[in-house]
Amino acid sequence: MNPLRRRASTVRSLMIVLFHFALFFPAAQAQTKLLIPMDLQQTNHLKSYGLTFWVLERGGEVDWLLNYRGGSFFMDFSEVIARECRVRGVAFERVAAAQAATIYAHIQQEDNNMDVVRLEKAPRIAVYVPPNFKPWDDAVTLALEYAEISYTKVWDEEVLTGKLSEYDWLHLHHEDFTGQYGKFYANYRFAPWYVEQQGLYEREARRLGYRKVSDAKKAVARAIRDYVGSGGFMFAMCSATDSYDIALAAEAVDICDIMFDGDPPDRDIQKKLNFSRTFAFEHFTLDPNPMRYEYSDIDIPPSDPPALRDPNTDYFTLFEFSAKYDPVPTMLTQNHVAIIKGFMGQTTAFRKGLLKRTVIRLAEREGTEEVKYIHGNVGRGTFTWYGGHDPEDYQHAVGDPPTDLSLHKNSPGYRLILNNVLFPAAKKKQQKT
Amino acid sequence: MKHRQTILFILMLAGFLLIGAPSTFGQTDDLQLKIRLAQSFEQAGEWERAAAIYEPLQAADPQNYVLFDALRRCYVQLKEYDQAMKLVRQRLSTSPNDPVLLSSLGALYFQKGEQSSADSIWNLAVQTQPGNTNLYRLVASQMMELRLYEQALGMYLKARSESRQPLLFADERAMLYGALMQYGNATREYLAVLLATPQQLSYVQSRLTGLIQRPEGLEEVLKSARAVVLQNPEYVPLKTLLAWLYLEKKEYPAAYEEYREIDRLTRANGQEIFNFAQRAVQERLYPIAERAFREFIDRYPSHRLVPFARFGLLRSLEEIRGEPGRSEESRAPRPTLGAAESRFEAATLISQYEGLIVDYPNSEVAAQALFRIGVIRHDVLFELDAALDAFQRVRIHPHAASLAADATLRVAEILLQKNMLAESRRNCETLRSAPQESLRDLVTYQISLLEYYEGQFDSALVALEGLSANPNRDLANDALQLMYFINENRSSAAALKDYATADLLLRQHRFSEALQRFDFIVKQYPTALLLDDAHIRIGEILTTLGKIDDAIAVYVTVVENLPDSIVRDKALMALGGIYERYKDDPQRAIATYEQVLMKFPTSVHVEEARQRIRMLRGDSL
Repeated sequence: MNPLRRRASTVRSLMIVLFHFALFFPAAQAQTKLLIPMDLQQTNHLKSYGLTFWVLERGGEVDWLLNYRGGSFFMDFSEVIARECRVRGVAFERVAAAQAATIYAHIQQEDNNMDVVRLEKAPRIAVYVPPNFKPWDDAVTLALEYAEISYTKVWDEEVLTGKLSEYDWLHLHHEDFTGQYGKFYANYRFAPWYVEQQGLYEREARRLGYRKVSDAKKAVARAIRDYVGSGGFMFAMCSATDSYDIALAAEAVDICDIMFDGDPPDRDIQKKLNFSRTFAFEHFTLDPNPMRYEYSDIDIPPSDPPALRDPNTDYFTLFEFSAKYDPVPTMLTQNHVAIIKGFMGQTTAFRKGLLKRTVIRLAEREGTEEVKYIHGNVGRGTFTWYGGHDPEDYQHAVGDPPTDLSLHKNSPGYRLILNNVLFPAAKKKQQKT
Repeated sequence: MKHRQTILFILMLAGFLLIGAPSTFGQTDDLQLKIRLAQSFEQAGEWERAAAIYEPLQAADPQNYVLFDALRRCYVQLKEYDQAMKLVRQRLSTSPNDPVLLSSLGALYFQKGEQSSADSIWNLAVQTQPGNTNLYRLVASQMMELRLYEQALGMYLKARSESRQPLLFADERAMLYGALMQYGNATREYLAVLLATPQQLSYVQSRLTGLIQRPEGLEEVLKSARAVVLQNPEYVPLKTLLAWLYLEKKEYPAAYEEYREIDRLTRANGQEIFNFAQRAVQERLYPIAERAFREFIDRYPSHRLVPFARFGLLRSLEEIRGEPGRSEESRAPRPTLGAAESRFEAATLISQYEGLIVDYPNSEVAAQALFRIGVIRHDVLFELDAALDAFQRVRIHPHAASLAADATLRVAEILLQKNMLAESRRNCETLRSAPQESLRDLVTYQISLLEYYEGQFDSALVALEGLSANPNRDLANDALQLMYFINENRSSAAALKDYATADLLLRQHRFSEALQRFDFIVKQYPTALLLDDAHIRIGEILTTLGKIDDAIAVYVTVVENLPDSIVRDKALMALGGIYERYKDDPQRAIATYEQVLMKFPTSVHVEEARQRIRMLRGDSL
């Protein structure tokens, strides 16, 4: 081992020992608290989530103060945590015991739309991505990497062999569960990445015992449904949302044209869709044209032709929920601003009229049919879907450079993603009635 | 919606024509109308209605290929594979050896899920004319449409063995292997082509470029290429390809070995080795460049390129020794400045450059060598007179046109260091009208610095304002910084003038005098705003002189005793750097950087402090 590395290793070991000592024996700081404000005072919102995750990973407990200063994090003070905040650039405040009690009392007042949620355990995170995936093509992995939150990559084999049960939270991004390879055929069928992707997916499907990629993806969609039904948390963005529901609805029907699976689609595919199987959408109409970059009428505005919009006027609004009565949607919408700049994707937003009645709308583009952010329950689990590709890249295109999140430390759009990461860490408590 | 209207219009028109005026049209027109109507249904995706029109028409005229193909198409879209097969078989009954029909029938079997029947039919199709390689292409294309890449590969292979043409369909097979991500197999196909046709080197290289975009692709391509070269060790195009792959993988010693071999095999008399060395220098791969230049010179001492090789060798040595081309970071003040070893190496290099000038007078190599002598004397040995002499000679050298501006800037810098400020300025002025904007900016900045050293702050500010007006200019930040410093300290004119003089001494490498002058400023102007800057300068000079403990004491003074100073964060960063680099004390360095984060959370040094801490504690970032 070279001396520099050895030295770094020694320093790291020492740090770990010191951390545990300081974290679990905070007697000297009895009852002093450390507040990570999440309002406009915060210097790095995204790393704040990583810091909270870091404390949970090391056995610490954190209170998430819903609607208090933008959804702040509150924990026992320790010099080690304070130091880590400084190193990661996360703003924090040291709060005396008396002041902490005042904060808790303030939050608990009935007329304040606030509440406290105890975060107990760092969730085990799985991200569903193919082996040739690049982290910069997925806003969630970008956010996880930047916030320094550890995650595991899974793909079809892991999902189909029941490995999902090892994780609390599953993320899907720019996936296509319909087996139409993102419907990029018209523009990219000769592009090396497209040819390679199709080959890779076909080999994987055959290896797993499926004749067609669409069959394999349907099986994956079913396995994910089972995972959520058994209590898993699913977070999806962009085309993973509508393509997932389409795959579930089309479970008994072949919707893929000949260039995707070697044979034509079934007759009357629209009539054969089974909307009772879907999570969020119903009565949607498929777009069977293989040359069109669009799956269905769920996506609004449609991606083909691309919508012409002025990014400066494209915003969506977060709904406000009762923290004490609806803690889950409240957690998911914690932010330091209520109006967030919009962003496009293969699936930009969801058509309001096609949402199931059980789905909770978390954010929408006011005065339009566009719902940006939704949440719902399936069995014992939940799903949260977020339209658009990259909250800080208005119109992300194939081959675009990755977003540098160090330039967007306070991104409200990315915060919504990270709310979801911490949401499974929350301790379930008795609901107020 | 528009589409539907069009269809409706066509339907109504067709209805009218069919029902209302049948007698006005002949039978052919009627057929055409029906076909058009069916095609409209096809376009609308209404395959059943299209088939219903085609069926009687095809039954009435079974020899009509257009009707046959249209009806087959409809059946396929409707997944009525049995119907489609029946139709194809009907047609086959009249021409049983039609390979196109057989190939199509095979596809129908496959789509129906009867893989072995499909294979039998396809084999039958190619056996109808065993010598016709186009049939294999036809069937393989059918297979590729069904995304049966492996089967298509097999079909092409069969064509090879049947036709006894071992390179037949090599390109097609290679592309299929590429799509299957079997890069090694793809490479073997291309290399087989190259082995047979050396002129295909560029083509093969261009095809392989697509495969090596991914690291695993490059690894596999290289592995296959290596294996093929082992079997054909004397084949130059293959070795050229292998050398290129090594360069792409940044395995430079291996690439060099290949070029040596190529040189030997082609009897290039060192040309290949020289070209490799030049490329290595361009890519800043100096150790391998040194090896190549040395070998070239030793083995081909009378080659016409030896002068350039000798110069390349010396440049490589210069860079390997790290003088003066070391990075900005490693140029940080060091306690070993002017060490005897370094001086000895510099002197050796100079004598070798001088040897070049003697051996090749009045040449481009001589001009370049002279310039390098000037640089070494200036940057490493700080022999101002000797360096000045070298650069002056470069300026009048007949083969140094490309070096003239750089030489003039060096002359101006040396004159400044010799305290001949007026002469330095005159030299700068000669470049005022240089064609390059960046050079003109540099000259303007140098002149404003000269004015600053001379205490002509007003005229310095005028020039600096011009430079800072455009933030896109490289020197805008430097200009702004100096402007800010001058403006901030204009109220203490005497202190500022002394400070400028001390800065000049520092630039002239008169470290002891500069140190004395900065000490004087600290004592003489204890309330001046530039007091803390003077301390920082003292710390920097002490570090340069290797007086590390004294430097620490000065920086600590800034941090602890100058509570209103705006450079305390800078002092802490300098302290952290000393603990890290000179004291080998990472714990203390971390603690010092943490002070920056705690005490100066809005400092411009915060990001750097964070990075240093994380690096020192071994975080994986």
